Amino acid sequence: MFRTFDSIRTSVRCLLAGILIWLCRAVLEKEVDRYITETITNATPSSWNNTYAWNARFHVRVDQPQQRVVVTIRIRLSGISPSSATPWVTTAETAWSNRFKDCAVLGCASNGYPILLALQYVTSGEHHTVSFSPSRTAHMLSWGLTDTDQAHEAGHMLGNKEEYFTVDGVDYGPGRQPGGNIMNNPASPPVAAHYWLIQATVDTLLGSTIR
Amino acid sequence: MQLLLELALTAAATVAMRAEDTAAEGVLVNTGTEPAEVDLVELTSPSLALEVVDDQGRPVLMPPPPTPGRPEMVVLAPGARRSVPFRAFVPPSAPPGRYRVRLRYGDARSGWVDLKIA
Repeated sequence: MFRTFDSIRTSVRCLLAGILIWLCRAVLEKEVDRYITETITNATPSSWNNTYAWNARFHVRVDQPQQRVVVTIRIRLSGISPSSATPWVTTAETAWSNRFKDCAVLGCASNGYPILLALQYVTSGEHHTVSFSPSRTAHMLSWGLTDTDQAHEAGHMLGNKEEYFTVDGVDYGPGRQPGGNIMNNPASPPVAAHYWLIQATVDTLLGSTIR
Repeated sequence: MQLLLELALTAAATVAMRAEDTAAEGVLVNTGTEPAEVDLVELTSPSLALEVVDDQGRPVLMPPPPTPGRPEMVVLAPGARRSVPFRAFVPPSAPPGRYRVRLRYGDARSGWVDLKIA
C-alpha cells in the first residue's frame, strides 16, 4: 500500500519536474563528487612522475528562469582570511565563467545558457579545504598569492587532468606552452572539453542530450 | 650533487591529528664539496617532495602537483642547508590510521617519520 503511494508520489514529482523543464521554469540542482586519478610519466624533471588522485566536487544549478548554469565550488580556507584570498576568487571565476554556453535547454533559450563559476568561501559544508602556501601554489589544495595558477587548480576541481608531460599515456609536451590551454598553461583559457563533467551533470538534470 | 634530507614533524608524532593539521619541516643539506642547484618548486610542493604511505606500506596518492615550467632555482653552497615548511600535507581523503612520510628530492630520500591521523 505504502509502496504504491510512494510510487505514485515519485511519478507525480517527475511529471511536475518535466512540466517545469518544458515550461522553462525549472531550477535544477545537483552535487557532483567524482573520483579522479592521473598518472604522469616522461616528466622532466622526473619529480612529477607519479600517480595523483582527488575528488572533483562542485554544485551545479541549472537556472531556467535566470537562463544560466551556475557551478559553485565551496572552499574552506586554512591559514588565510577570505578577504586576503579575494584574488583567488577573481582569478578562478574570470578564467572559467562566460566562456561557453550550454545549448541543451529544450528551446528555452535560443542562444544557450552561459556557464558561470562561483568560488565561494565557507566555514562548513566545503567541497575542498585549501590551505595557504607562503610561496607559490604548491598543488590543488595549497594555493599561493604570488601567482595566478589557482585557475588551473580549479580546473582539477571541475574534473580535469593535467595536460603536460604524458598523462595516462597521452603525450602533451612540456607545461606552460604559449598555445596551451588552462590545464597546460594556467595563464590560458579553458577549452570546451574542460566542461565535460558540468555538461554531463546538466545532461543528467535535464534528462536530455547536451551539445 | 650530494644532498642529505631530513624531515621532522612539527607536532608530536604520537598525537593523532586531522590531515589538515599536519605540519612538518624538511631540511636539505648540501654535503658535497661543490655548490648544488636546487629547485624550490620541487622541494616545497608536498605532492612532489613528500612520500606518504599507510601502515601497510601502500602509497597515499597526493593531489595534483603544481604546473611545471617555472622553476625557482637556488644555489646551496657546500655545507649550506635549506629548510622548507609543509602544512596539511596528508590528503584529506586519508582515513584515520597510522602513516609514514619522508622527504624526497631527486635521488635523495630522508628517513621515514611516523604520524597518526585521527
